[in-house]
Amino acid sequence: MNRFIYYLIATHMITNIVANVPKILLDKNDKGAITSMILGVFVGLLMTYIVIRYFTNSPGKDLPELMKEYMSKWFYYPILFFFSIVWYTAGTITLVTYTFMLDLFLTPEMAILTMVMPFLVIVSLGVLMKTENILHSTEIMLVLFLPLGIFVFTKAYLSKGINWDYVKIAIMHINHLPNYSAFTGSFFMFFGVVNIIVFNKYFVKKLSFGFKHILLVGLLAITVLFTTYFLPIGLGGFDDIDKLLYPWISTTDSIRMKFGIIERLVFLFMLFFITISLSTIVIQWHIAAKLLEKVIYFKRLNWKKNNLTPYLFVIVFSICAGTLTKTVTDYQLFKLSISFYNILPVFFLILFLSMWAVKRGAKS
Amino acid sequence: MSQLKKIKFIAMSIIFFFTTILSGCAFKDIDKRTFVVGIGIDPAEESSNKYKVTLKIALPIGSIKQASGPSYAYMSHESDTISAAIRIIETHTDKVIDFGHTKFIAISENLLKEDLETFMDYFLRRGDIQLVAWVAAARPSAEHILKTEPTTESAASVALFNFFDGNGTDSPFIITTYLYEFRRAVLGKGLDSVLPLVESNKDGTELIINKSVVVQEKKDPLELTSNQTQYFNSLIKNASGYSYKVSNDDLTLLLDIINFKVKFKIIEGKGRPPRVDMKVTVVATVLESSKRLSGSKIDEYNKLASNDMKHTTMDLLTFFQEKEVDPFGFGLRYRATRLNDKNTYDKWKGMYPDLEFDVKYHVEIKSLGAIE
Repeated sequence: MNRFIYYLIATHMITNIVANVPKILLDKNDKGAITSMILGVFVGLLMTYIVIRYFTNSPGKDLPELMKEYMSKWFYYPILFFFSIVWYTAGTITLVTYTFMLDLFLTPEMAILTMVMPFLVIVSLGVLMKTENILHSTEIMLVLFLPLGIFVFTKAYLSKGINWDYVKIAIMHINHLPNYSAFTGSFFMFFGVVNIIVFNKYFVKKLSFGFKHILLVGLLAITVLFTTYFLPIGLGGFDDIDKLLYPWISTTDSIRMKFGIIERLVFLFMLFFITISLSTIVIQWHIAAKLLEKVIYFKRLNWKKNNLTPYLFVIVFSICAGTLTKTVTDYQLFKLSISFYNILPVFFLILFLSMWAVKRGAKS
Repeated sequence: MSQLKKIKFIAMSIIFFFTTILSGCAFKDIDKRTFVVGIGIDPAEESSNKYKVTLKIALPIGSIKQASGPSYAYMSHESDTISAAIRIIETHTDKVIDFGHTKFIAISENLLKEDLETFMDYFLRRGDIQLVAWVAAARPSAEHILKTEPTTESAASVALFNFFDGNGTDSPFIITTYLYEFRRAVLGKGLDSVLPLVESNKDGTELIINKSVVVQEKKDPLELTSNQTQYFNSLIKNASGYSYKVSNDDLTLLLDIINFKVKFKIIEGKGRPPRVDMKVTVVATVLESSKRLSGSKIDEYNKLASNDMKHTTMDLLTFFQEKEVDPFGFGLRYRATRLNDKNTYDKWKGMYPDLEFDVKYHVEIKSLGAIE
């Protein structure tokens, strides 16, 4: 089961190549994006290491279980509720961003609700799967679509349109102090590993996680962040890149495949990113539902021996996401994601504190 | 277990229900759409308006065998803004105007001096116009260029596309500039965009593309002659098919250039004016010669060609410098190699007119051809 933790990390990173992280980073291109990214990688790797090492010590147990064992109800109920909201928001922001993107670039005339509905149906069905099956479906998604991803990224890097002078200009802006939003944005790239707090239930065998593995995650993160930040600059220029609302779609739209089935590479990119992001959204909503189940559970809500609480959650989740898609504007969504990333350090503080409390409880 | 099956059945039926509404074209069938292949923008003829927008629309044909040639429809309208004109054009046709296949944007050369950002805005803001569309300057007008239907144009292909996409004609005279390249050059500092200049002959049967213009902010575009265009294009984009004539008193050589490799850096020394060190490596074969050539004298020919080309390059560079344009992107390179501070670019601006060029050529003639 060791490999699944890397899937969790990788899917989350790939999803955020396109979603809101590049927009935030490129927005701060002359205000310290690079130093923020460097800082983000270090802090993110440290966080990854701590989280994984912590959970390898208790294989087969997820955080809610551990908290139930060693903490009082009054502590862990609000904490789990807060965590659930964090995961739900993370998934929803991705969902709404992708819906907006598709609406703008693929079918500008289509109503936004029709656009989001198929998404919601598929994600809802995914969320209702068993946790173990979600891991397996993520694996299938990655195995099927990673070759396509590697192809489109190779194509992008080999594109003649990249002017590396722009990239160098961006690097020459290294002499700025890190920016908080850019830091939390690049830190968010590492969020995938925290999914372990629920998925650890299925990591029964002890995970081995040493220097080699941290190096692997580090390399992946650096590649992903480099691609996220520098590829749009190489193709879109430096000075005005912060004015693009969806820099990554514009970037992929700048790559032409002369002898392909489709001349515009943007559609292949979209196919790749949408599938990967779907599994990320499924994972995040699933965790949100699982955590919420620990707090709110209607024992009587049964229908032919099946408890309907998860179904209820999924319906509420979908309705909230649908309403959000309909009401929120581009700019509000961007602001929302920035403030979400900005509160991430608080989230990690609470996570680490509760992990520490569990450990203390276990010792005494 | 049967419970689970039931849920699965319901879930599958919901999915199948959704497949029925997935029509693929956002609920509008392909026969209810018209595909714009080119947009042309001219200054308005009436003074009350600002732009004249012309759309070149490809008409569908039943089969290529039946078609005698390509068929297009053209629609024009004048308005203050591009989108307003297109909204009116939409009322002149029964179909939805689809910009997904728009690959050519012609801008009248008279418009290129104005505030480029304002009318570029429309193309960039619309998500469905591709950023890999080609941008070109048009003479005498964009409308005229779009309406030109060359006699060599065949059914189910657009002649204008063939010029630029590298599949049809492949000539060093033709500069290709994509919309994203144009955008980053116009909005950024340190590089001036070069657009191909598309002309047509008098009776509208031929498209002629062998010149180009350097677009400058708030100034008239600078026109490059055919030779300058060809030379610049080979240097910067390594365009193939370039032949270069070398001559001295008793020998005239026509070289077919296989490969151009250009490297340059900007050097600031103390007490000396800043200079650009440019190193060009050229691989070539002989295409034509006025005399019998000898393989043992190849170094001599190399030197001769190097010297000759050096002067051509110097001429081009000083021409750009005098006209205060920077299509090579020296400014970009300057910014890319200096740690940034607030006035990096201003410093460069002051430096450019006094810049010295040091060009070194290394020509390597690979083969004399089939005869000596």
